[in-house]
Amino acid sequence: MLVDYSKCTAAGQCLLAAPNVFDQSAENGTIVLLDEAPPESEYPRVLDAVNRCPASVISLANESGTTLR
Amino acid sequence: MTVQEVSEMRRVPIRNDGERLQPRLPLEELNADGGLLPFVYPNGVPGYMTTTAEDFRNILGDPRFHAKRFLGEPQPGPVSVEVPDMPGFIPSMNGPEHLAVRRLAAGDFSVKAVQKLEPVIDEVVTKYLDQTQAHGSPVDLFESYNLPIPSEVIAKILGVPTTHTPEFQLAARLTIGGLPDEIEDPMAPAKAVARLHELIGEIIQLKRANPEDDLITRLTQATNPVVSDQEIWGLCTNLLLAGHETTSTSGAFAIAILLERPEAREYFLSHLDRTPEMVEELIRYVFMVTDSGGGIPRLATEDVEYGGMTIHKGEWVMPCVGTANADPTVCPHGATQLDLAREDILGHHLTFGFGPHTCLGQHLARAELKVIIPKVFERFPNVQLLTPVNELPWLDKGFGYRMAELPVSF
Repeated sequence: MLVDYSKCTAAGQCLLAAPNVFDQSAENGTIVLLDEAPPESEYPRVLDAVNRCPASVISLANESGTTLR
Repeated sequence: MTVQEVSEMRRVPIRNDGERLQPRLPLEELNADGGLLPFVYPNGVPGYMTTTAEDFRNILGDPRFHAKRFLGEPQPGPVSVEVPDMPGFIPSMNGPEHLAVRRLAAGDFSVKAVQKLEPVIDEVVTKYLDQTQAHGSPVDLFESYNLPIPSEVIAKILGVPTTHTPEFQLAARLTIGGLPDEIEDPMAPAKAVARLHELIGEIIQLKRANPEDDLITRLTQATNPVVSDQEIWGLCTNLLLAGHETTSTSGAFAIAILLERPEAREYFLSHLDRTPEMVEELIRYVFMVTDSGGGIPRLATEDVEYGGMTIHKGEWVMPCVGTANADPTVCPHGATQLDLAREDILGHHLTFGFGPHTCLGQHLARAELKVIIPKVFERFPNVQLLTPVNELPWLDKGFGYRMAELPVSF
């Protein structure tokens, strides 16, 4: 999972979608990655977070680094 | 676009038959046709309107389009208004500069910061329920209940001292326009914005002298970046205006829907365990019905190839929440209808926008509406509309409208 902090607009959608994986900084509301390699059971929620993020901050890559979405 | 091309464009077909609880745009038709709809705004400025959720997200998420407001240049809209530039006013900032200022306030509007505010919201809502009850029936619920709540909550977040709160709320009340006060003084909204400027200026000085645990104090102490008093004023004015009219009028509209439709009221009150989902559907529906392309326009800063056409530098695109929220990809079944039993709508409609300018106060708006809407029925079980919704006075803003009063008995 790749996170581009520079684009984060602090909308909190990732936390709403997958609260076990993402949080928001108390200081500026931006994305905090709680679990860099979440278990498979979290995948649907992580995918929802990817889709809901209004600033396209989160992207998914496979082990060789190829971006999936 | 040339003048000839513009003159041949069809105008956005806004229905104007006085029916207030149904969409004003032919949403299904616009969704099905898709693409950017070229049209001319009533002030003569040409532009395009988005007609699908995909276009809405693409335009709002594309950094080549800049949000523009308050820049004094001719803008698409019902009328051309000259509004002064305002440092710190984030809806007209773009790029890294916008994010830097937005993040100064974002910690106070995060999901968890808003959760901590829930007791404050309960307290404010209870205060205005008490006042409404003390006023007695009949009452204008918009004036006595919906209108004052959001500005009082924002005052608490900003740290407006209680000595300043009544005047802060009075100024906030007048900024939204369309109130009876303007019959006597058409300049009342402009004067109210000027008074807000003075009040926030006074509060900044108070906070510099006596720092407290609130947003204005944090802004005065910010070091990365350092924020000027002018920017604090612009940002605080923005936070107030953005959260005040929207939450007060959409809450009143949602209550009006439940009052007008007995079956929806009965469903709502017998499924209060689903309040978050039902309020989310009301938020989706209210903005689908009331917005017909009235958001903050986006300006192409360079030529953009999009959907087989060129949007030229200097042309405007209006993101339309109405068509986005009716899109079958957002809402697969019966999107143009209110359906309080709808599942999985949380966070998937586009009322709060998309892209870097996505509504900063969306968690606060939800938290307030989740209390504001059910509590009025809990406190006043016999509450009834005194005038049918379609006969109420409305403030019509061309591409959007809102209610101006909500007379009820209880």
